[in-house]
Amino acid sequence: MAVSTGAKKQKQPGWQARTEAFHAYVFMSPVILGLLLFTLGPMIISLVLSFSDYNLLNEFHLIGTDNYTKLLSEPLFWQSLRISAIYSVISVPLGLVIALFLAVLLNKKIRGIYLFRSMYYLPTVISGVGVAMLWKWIFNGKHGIINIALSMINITGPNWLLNENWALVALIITSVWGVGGTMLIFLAGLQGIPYELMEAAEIDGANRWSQFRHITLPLLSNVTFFNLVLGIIGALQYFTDAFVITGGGPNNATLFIAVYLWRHAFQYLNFGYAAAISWVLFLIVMLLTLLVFRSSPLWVFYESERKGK
Amino acid sequence: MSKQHDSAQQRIDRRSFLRIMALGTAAVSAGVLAACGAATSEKPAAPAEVQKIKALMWSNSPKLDENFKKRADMFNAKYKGQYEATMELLPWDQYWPKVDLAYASKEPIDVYFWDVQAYGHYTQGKLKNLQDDLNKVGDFANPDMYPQEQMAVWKFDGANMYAVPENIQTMALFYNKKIFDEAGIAYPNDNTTWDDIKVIAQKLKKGEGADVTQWGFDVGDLAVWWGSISLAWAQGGGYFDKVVEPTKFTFSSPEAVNALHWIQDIMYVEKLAPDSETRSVVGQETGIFGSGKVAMYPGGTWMISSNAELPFEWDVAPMPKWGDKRAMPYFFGGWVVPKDGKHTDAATAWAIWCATEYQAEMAITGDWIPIRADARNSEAFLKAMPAGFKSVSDAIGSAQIGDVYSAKVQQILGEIISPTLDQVWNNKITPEEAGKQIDEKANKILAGG
Amino acid sequence: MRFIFRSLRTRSAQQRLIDIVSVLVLSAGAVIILIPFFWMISTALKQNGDVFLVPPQWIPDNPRWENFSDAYAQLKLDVYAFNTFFIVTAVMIGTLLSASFAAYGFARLQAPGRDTIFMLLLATLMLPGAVTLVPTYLMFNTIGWINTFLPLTIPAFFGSAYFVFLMRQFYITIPRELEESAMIDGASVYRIWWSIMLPLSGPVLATIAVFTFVGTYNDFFNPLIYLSDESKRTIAVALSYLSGSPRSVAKMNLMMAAVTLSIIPPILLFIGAQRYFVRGIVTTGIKG
Repeated sequence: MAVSTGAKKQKQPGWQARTEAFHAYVFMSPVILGLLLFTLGPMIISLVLSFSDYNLLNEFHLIGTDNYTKLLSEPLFWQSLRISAIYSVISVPLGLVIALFLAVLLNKKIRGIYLFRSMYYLPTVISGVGVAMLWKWIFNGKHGIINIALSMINITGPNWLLNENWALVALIITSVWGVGGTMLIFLAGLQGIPYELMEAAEIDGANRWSQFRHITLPLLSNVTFFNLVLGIIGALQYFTDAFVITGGGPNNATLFIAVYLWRHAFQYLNFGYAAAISWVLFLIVMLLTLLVFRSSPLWVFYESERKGK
Repeated sequence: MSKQHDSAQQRIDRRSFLRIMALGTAAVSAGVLAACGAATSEKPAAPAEVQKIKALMWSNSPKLDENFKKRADMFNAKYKGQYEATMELLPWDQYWPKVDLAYASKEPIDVYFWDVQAYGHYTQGKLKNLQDDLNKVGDFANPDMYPQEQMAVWKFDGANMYAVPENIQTMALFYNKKIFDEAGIAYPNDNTTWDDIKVIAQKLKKGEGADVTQWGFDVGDLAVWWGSISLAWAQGGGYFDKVVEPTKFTFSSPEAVNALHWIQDIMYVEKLAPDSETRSVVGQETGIFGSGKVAMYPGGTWMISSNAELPFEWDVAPMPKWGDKRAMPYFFGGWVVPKDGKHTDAATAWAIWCATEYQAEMAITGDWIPIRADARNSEAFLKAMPAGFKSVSDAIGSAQIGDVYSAKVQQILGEIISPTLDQVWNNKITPEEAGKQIDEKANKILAGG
Repeated sequence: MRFIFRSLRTRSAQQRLIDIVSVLVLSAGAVIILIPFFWMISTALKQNGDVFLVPPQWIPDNPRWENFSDAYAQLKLDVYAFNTFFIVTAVMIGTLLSASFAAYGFARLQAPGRDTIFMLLLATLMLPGAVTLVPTYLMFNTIGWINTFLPLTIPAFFGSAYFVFLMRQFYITIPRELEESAMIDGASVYRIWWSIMLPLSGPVLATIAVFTFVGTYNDFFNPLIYLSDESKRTIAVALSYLSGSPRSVAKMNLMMAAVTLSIIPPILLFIGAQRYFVRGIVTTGIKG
């Protein structure tokens, strides 16, 4: 896996490697302690519980792989998995492209740029119930602003949130609206690209597209990598908006895997089953993440590699 | 994690390092697993100590929430030196997770407000049998004070109460007096039928197609299963064979299909009521009545206190009749006490006090309809209610419980009934198809599928 | 500002054209982005009855400014501001320190097991919070942390996976020459982290600050689960009570007024943080 930054690794004397390892552990100590104290334990417990009939109320009994076999034969589980997959396949690349595009525009030295940055970040500061109410109104079939706009160009918009085919599209649109966070990370990444490189390219007569293609994109690839990995993780666990805006409806059309899981954990008293769902989801996310990590040497460009050692 | 230059030495280091991490994590995990697996040791409270309890309810509105806190003050004044209750109010979405987490941590909430989810707690043996305590309450068995027949439903095992009802709710027909007055049409009354509703709604509708400016009717809470079941009951049918642990759903019965048809048709065939699309204008369906553009709608009586703030005159009538029979749901609000709570005496005292002594005060606040007849019929309460309320309250005798109790019912409602009814209200499928689909899938889950 | 003017003048006409197009595109996008906010404020100013008018009014006929003061008083925003401020500050400090510190180890130093730890850390992000919530709650309950601010703040000091990963991605791009020359001068790794890496990480630190602020500020779920006392509520918790319940209707105008008020602090923070969205000094010093 390409997490190694390792070009530096030369034949070091043993003591030096050991000192370096010692310092590395000191630096990593908060994370190691955090894992030990707060996060790994609950994860392992949830794994154990996924093989049990735990319902939060009474003592659990281990029931082998019952939850997993039940899960795999449950059509609603597959449906919810499919919904999450469709959502991720569309929203992750769409979000990345739009965020990158906006970040490049917002990285320009033009007047009022701070104002623009604030506006584009604005959607991410509002969350929870307020934003849900807002979207219900925006997607209203007859009076919602989206359909009013569509009717101006003679298109009769769908009844978004009540329509089985369009409710998911509506949620994808809301995710794009909240792309400000990803954009901000790209923006921070753009700040790290030496301006001189751009100027040099400009002097060399490179056109804007090739400048973007050969300088900006490669130098930003580490940030793109981050946004891609976290985008996949986030999209497959997408929960809050579906929970509050559509509640999984209509007719389970927005029953994302995380919503399905929540219901079993806290509404149907099937916690063991919910834990099994989450571990299946974990495996899928892990597999995809490893895939992205494996592919990274092909497209992620790190500073230390630039030095060509 | 492939680093080709890893030396064998380092690999061993890594392994021993991981072993240390695994051990540390295992220690933490074991501790917590023990906590959620094993029973806790009892912590006996010293007898002289004040028993401090927490009462949990979900948040309704600032006014109602405030009155719950005042209620705790009254309780604490009465039981000073003996019991002390703290009222905690949570938003609905966090209410049940918090109750369940408290159970999981072996420190259950001392006393919490009932809703059907608590039936699951009963089936898991977590609730205290309150029958003995209730037997000691003077007039709890008096049918003139407490509606015995209705309360019997809460004897899940056939003999004992596991929850103490403190208020009773039902459905009523809310109507906008101004709209009726303008049209010179008589208000709905005790004898209005569902057929009459369509006739009246036709007269009160203004505009056609996309330009309707006033609707004669809105389906209101008929869009929820416990609302629409009223129409099936009134024909002598229903949606399931029995309330406690049903063995069969009957959505495809003629009465049930008729009920769904009536509601779907008034939206999409006769077009006398706004369809689902129009109803969702602001996301809050019941707000449509608040717009003043709907003449009447069937809704829960708990909306009476919220509707009190509307800027026009309105009143309530009993739910209309189907032919000559009236039916509607009723619901209880009340308290359940976990049997493993730290202070079950105090918690039981709270639940019973709310259903007895506090009833007079509940009547004064007008927040809830008191279960006790003398409070419900008191002048103080009726004064806070709209004029037509008395006839609604009197009709409760013909009401049936608007719940269904089964460990699997939450899942059946969430995964099958609600999504399928959504399709009916959106005119995507016919009631006949919906009935067939629901029965097929729901009965399969009931059978253990 | 003067710097911007000068750079504008020296740039080509083509550049200026691109800037103009950019501004146009950004403006068009901004309109789309801002429409929901316009509706929010419009609703916040409506009379209770006007909220449900069909078709809705975009600009209320008779605005009700009292909605804002009502929302403020009803939410007791001033009372809960302290709790919110305390939790948010602790989480920000904890996250900034731990993430920037730990990430250096992952980005630059070799140690056996390092990449395994990193993947373990990432793995913590991959399991849905709904199922780890229960064991986590039980753990905090066992050590007596329920109904205190500790479960909401202490974990932030142990490096959240998201931000450690983010910091690591940025450290990796910083040229090694800077550290190497400092090392020759005899600086320790801690000194290098503190006086070379951190100063170069302005934009990403600002990003983390904004993210943790917004995330913690808006979180109502965890405070509701871990806290019980009303005196310990945060602003987001107070806000979550406005959504009504299955048996009552939310007051849209008050709610929107409350939401409008509540987003002021994060917006102010974001505007403040923009100052740090500038290149580190040293990067510009490197040429090829």
